[in-house]
Amino acid sequence: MKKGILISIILLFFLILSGCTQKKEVEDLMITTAIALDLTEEGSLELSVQLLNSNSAGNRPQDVTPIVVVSETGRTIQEALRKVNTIITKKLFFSHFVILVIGEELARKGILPFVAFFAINQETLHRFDILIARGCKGKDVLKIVSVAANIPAMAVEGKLVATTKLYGISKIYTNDEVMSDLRSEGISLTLGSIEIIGDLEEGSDLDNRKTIDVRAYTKVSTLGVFKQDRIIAWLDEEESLGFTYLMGKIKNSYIIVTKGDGTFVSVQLKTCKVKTKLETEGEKIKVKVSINFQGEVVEDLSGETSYDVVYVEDIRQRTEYEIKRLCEKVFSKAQELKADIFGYGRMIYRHKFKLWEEIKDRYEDEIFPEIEAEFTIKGNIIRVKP
Amino acid sequence: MAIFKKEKKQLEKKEMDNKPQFPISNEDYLHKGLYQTVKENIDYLKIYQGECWDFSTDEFTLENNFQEIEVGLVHLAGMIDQRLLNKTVIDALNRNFSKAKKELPEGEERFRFFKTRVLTTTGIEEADTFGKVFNLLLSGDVILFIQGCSKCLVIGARMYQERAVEKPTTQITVMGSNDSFNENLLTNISLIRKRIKNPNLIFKHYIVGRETNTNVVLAYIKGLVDEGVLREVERRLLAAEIPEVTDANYLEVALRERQFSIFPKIFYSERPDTVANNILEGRVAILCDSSPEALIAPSVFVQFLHSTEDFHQKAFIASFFRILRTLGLIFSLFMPSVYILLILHHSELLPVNLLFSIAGQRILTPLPAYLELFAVMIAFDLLRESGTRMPTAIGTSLSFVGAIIIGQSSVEAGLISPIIVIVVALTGIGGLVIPNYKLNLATTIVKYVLTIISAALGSFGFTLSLVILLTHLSSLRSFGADYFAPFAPLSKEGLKDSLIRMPLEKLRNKFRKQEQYPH
Repeated sequence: MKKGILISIILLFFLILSGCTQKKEVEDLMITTAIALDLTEEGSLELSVQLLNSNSAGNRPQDVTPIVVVSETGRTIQEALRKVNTIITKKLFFSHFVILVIGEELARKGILPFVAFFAINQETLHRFDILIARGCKGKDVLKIVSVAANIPAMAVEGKLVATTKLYGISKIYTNDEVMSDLRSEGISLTLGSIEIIGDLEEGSDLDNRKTIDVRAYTKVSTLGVFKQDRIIAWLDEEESLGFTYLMGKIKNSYIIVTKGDGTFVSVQLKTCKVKTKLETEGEKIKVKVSINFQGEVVEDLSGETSYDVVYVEDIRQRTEYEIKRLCEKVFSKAQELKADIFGYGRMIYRHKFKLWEEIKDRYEDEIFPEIEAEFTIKGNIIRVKP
Repeated sequence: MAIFKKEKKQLEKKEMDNKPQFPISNEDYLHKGLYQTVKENIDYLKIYQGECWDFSTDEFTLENNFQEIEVGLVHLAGMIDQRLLNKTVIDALNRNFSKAKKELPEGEERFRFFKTRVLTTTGIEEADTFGKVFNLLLSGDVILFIQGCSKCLVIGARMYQERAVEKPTTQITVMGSNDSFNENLLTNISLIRKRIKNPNLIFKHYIVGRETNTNVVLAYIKGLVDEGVLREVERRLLAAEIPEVTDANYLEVALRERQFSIFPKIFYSERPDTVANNILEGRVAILCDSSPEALIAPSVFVQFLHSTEDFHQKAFIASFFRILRTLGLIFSLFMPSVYILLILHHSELLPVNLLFSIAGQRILTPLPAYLELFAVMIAFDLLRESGTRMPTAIGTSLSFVGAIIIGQSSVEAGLISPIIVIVVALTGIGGLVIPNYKLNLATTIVKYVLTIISAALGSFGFTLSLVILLTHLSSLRSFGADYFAPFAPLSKEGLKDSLIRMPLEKLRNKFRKQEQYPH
């Protein structure tokens, strides 16, 4: 019995004296919410981390900034990460890291090694989204204070999700998906982007949250097209929308139709189903895309909506035409860029492997620009809002 | 593990050497016959009880036209109805004895005369050994010795001071009957009889306890009760070598299985309606003299989460509150351990806003997270225990001190973080939702153990202890029935009255169908 008590006391000491072991308490962590990668003027890598300052949480006066952005340069990411520790006091904690922003300049030089680093890094989850900072540095995006959300990274993610779901000009693409696109044959990567509107100095001031007329903010922009792992061009809004239609990712978007008299009508899409078929004849490849949609007329600027068959049929045909136009526009743009952003090459690879083996070296430059595409759009207007 | 075995053996040996040091009574009196003379009898009683203040003897002589007979009355002063003694017994002795038509010879005839002609009240018994005399005398009866008879008469004039039938104090309901057992066995029996008027309702009497000779009653309905369980309860009750039974909970030690468990194995209730319901479900209730609680055998774990009120409400509503109580149990068991394991080992599982907020609260507090948690948990349990034990008058000031000083001030002073207070308060409230006090106390212990393991070993330790806990619960048995039924083994029929309650018509006779005890 005595020994039993002794053993329990010793076990209790393990608990109390665990101060010497590798224990991490929540307050000793620097929660990292976003990382940005840029190219410095000297050509070395610059890593910026957006950190939450837990000193500002709780019910303390809001005179301390809740977010800190810290940058360090290095030859590799690991070096830069280690160097960050010279600036901050606590250990970086990556589990809640949600976005990786890559500066446009760096994206033009290639992103594969950096994406690969985070894909094999054990500390980060592989669920974070990757974005390109359009026309600016990635670290600047991290610095813009968000008005609505406390944590800018969360705000950026929220914007991205909302844009993708409700408008359709961007896309949510996680690290794993980017890796899979970069590593597989017959597809060119596309990535969403984010830009800064307004002055950086004002945007990174906490006072920016106090004005009603927000002076600087981040804005989700259109898609960027990659060849290999380098960004080569930007799609415009219509092309981005067309891309989203072709990929079948449209959820709850609107399509704006011009009527015969020049007035605009908004049609809200309820469902939109996309089927893609490949037809090959020797090396001649034909893509048949059929899109089935159900829409609802929600707005007519002429002020006259009606349940009349003629009216509904007119809107339907115009909607079909409009979607077809968007699809054709992005398709010809992709052919012009010689970048198969839709992954038709991957479809050939998967379904007609023998053909792929023959054409894969010439695919991007010769075969893809010659692909014929047929877009069949069919839809219904199921409701007209009075 | 060898050391432990050795220790155990030594311990057993020690126990064998010095058996419990209870005063071993002089048991000469048990089978000793009565003397012929009143004086000798009274003197013999005085050997044992003579020094007692409340032991009162009266010797007087009755006379009529034919003869004079000495009689002796013996009783314990506080335990009898003095008015009954004076009015009925002494009056009757004086009045009726004179009606004798002839001289009564010593022996049987004189005794018969006294029994049938003189004492014309009910509740008259005979006794011929001092064992029986003592038993009845100490229970509060009046003993009448008659000169020349080797038997005596026992007149039932018991009147204990008893508490009135009051409202239940621990198993409280809003609706339904509001009486509870008191310390008088006969009152308790009457409370059950009032609810079940059935000729098959049996109250079987036993005397248990070597030193205390306590009255214990098994209540059950013949034909409805499982005979195997009944035999097993009787066997354990009689085989039990317990010296003292001053409360029903002493019986629990004798009745329960020889399995170690921190959970209460025998359900108890202070409510006659709960006990009546359980008897009607085919269980055995064990009532003990001077205990306001009835034990119920066999018991299952879910019973401890049930309240009588569940049957006073509609099935839907009752089910909702049962689920709520289960949630309370889960909170009180796991809340602190889950908190500490998330904070110390798995911060990545917390949403970023919550993590940020917790980190912000924790940053100013001086203690490590687990010590902080233990300190507040112990403070809470201290408060609760003091609330149970202290005189009612201090109650208000204590809750004031608890809430203001310990809660608010320590948070404001930055000694503990608000989240800890929330966690511990939720744990405490969850515990208070559990309708059974014994289960409530058991969860407190389990909570501490789980927290220590979770703090030290993280989610691995938590899961491990969860598995051990469930395995342990599933392995327990109560009088041959599975304690963790209807979950292990799973029974569809039993689930109808477990965490939810189906409408009554679907529950009829479920226990008779479901539980087959292997006896």
